[in-house]
Amino acid sequence: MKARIKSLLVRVRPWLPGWPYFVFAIVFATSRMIYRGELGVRFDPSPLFYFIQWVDPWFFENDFVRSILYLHHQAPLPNFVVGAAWLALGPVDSITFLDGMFLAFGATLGFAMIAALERLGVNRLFALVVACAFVATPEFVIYECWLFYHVPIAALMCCSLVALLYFYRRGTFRAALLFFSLLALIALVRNIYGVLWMVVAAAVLLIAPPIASQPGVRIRRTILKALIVPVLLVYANNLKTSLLIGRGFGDALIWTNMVTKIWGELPVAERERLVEEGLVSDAVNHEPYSDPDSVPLLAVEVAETGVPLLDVKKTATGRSNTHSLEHLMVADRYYKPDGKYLLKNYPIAYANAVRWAITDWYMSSPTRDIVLPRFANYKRLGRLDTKLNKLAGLRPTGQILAVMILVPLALAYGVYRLVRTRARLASERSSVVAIAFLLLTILYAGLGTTLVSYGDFSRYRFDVDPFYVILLVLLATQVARFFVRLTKRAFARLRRVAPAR
Amino acid sequence: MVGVAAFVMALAQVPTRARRVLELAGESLDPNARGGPDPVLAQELLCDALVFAAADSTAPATDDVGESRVEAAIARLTASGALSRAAGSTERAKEILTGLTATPPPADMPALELFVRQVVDATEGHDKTRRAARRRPWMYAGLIVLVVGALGAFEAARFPWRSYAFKASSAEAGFVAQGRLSQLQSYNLLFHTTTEDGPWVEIDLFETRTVSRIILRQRADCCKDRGLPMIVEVAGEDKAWVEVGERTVAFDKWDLRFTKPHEARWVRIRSTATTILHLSDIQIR
Repeated sequence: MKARIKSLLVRVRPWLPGWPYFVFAIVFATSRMIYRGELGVRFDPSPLFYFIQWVDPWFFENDFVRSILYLHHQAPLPNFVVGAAWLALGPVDSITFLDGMFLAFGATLGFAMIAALERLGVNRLFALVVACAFVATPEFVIYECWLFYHVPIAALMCCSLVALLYFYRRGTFRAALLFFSLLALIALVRNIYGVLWMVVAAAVLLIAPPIASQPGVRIRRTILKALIVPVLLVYANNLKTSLLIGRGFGDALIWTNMVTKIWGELPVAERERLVEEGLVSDAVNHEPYSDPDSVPLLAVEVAETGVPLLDVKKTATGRSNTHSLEHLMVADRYYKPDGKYLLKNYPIAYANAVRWAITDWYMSSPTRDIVLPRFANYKRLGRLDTKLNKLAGLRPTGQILAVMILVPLALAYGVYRLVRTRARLASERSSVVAIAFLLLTILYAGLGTTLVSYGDFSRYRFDVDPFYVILLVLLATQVARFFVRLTKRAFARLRRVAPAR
Repeated sequence: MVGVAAFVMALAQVPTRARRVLELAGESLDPNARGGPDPVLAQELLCDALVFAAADSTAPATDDVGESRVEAAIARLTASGALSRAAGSTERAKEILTGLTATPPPADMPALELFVRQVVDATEGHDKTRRAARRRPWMYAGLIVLVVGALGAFEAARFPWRSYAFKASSAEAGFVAQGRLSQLQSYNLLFHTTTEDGPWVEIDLFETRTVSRIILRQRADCCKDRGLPMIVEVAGEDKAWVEVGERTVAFDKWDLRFTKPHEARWVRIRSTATTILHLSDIQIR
């Protein structure tokens, strides 16, 4: 029997180094079977037909390339992938393809999380448990089955961290290019990540570069060379919007968001006075992207461009086209001056809105969302999700006590890892740079959304939630190691005091 | 500029052999290293770093025959004072260095790496790492001050009225007649006048400001009818008072919103009866 086990182990040994990934794959598959089989969760593509993030499939069928090219307030890649799948596979099979793709992103996130944690010195078993727990939560499953960019972004974020660590292990141009390409991919999927984020990330790498793969290679030059193409690609996407549309990328969104954000903080009497005295337009009283047909005030005469995405106000399905030039012009004519006026005259109201965003909504579960409760998957898993949130200290306001404690703790620990004396050691170089990247991305995503957007802040946090988890796991590992050392020292002292008989 | 210059200088500096070996030791301890961390290799390389550091030191080589090259290096570094400079005392240094020969290597190898780095610093005639360690508490203190300061500034921006000064017509025993709107006194009250004819409290906004809303909160535990009838007035620099609100019924919270905001330097709250005036909160927005 013993010999049999031994021979089995010998045969299995080559596979052992990858055992956490193998176990994770089993856990992931099992959890998905339970969620989909027992709890009835299904991939929900319905956002494609009415979310402002998506182009109506009518445009895919009638003017695909130009529709992607002329997008002016959304990053192009998600619509490109969905559109290409729609055209190549048809409406039914494309949804099956997207379902598979989102599942793959979910699994990739788990694999990448295990790899990153392992490379940062965390015990493999602990890394496996954390990754399994993270992807098996109802909240993650709801997002994974929702046609939105959050799960792909979270997965790409984890992959970029693994690529960063890979670059610090290899020190080659290819590894650096892989890292920056992933950053560019993220920027082309989600419009808040952009050139600035990539350049700051590159600056972090330049301050503490890895050791070059070969003697004589200038590693800082390698980093800059690897940065050029991806950063130019992202910049070109912004530039084409200015050239083709005549407005900056995302101009239509920024000021509508800003107005809604400040307007909600003003007293009713003050709002009425501002509109009555003509200090702001009546547009502020309407939801951003309201249908101009139902709100005549928001109808603006726009010259035809010949591009359906910009000209068509309503598609054949009757859906209002939020990518039309008219919406951009409405934002330009009404929301932009209104937003500037409100920002200048009510900075305290703006500060209050930001404070509320950070201390209230950001500290909630990502399932605290304006539209999510309408979806079938939320209805299926909402109760389980709420139960788990209650365990974590759900408050009547929607904040979660555990999040309120752990988010600042993770950030403080990250800063501590950057400033402690050991941060100067060669053995810490890759960890310090990885943590700097985590902090940079968390802060960038947090500020980019809480300073501009007017709601759903915990949904935006979902993109970087794996980074918070990684920081907390590093903290837990350090605390555990400290106590293990302390215990060992105490036992050693005891042994010295009472020698063995 | 100085920081940039130091950074450029650091780039231009040619590392010594000891520092190069130290880098390699660090690399082999990195969990991200190819094939994972190798503490045994790191231990060997740290010993080599000490040997090279000793070779760079100014102390003469010891003549003891038979001792290992690491022991010889330690003896030489002790003689040069580098060890005591790095650890605080030679005894402490030797205690730490037992980790270099321990089998298996100690769990906290980075601590050993840090110490060897300090020794290498000392032999190179500087103590950057030790200085960084000394600066660390200050850095933490600075960070805390920065965060607390930022929060304070944020709070000040959120509640500007809390810095406004008030002056009451009189003060009950145990109370003061002057203060700021952020300071609470007994019974969680901002102020408490004596019983008098027409008690008042005057608030100085320090400069002419736009006032669109005034919120008053009455004492929470009792006596909500005191101070009635209550009148709220505003005035510019000339102190020409304009009545903006009157209340004759008791209240917990009185929220005065003005459809047309007032430009005011002063706000006054007074009673027209012989009574006591006290409030627990005044917000001027």
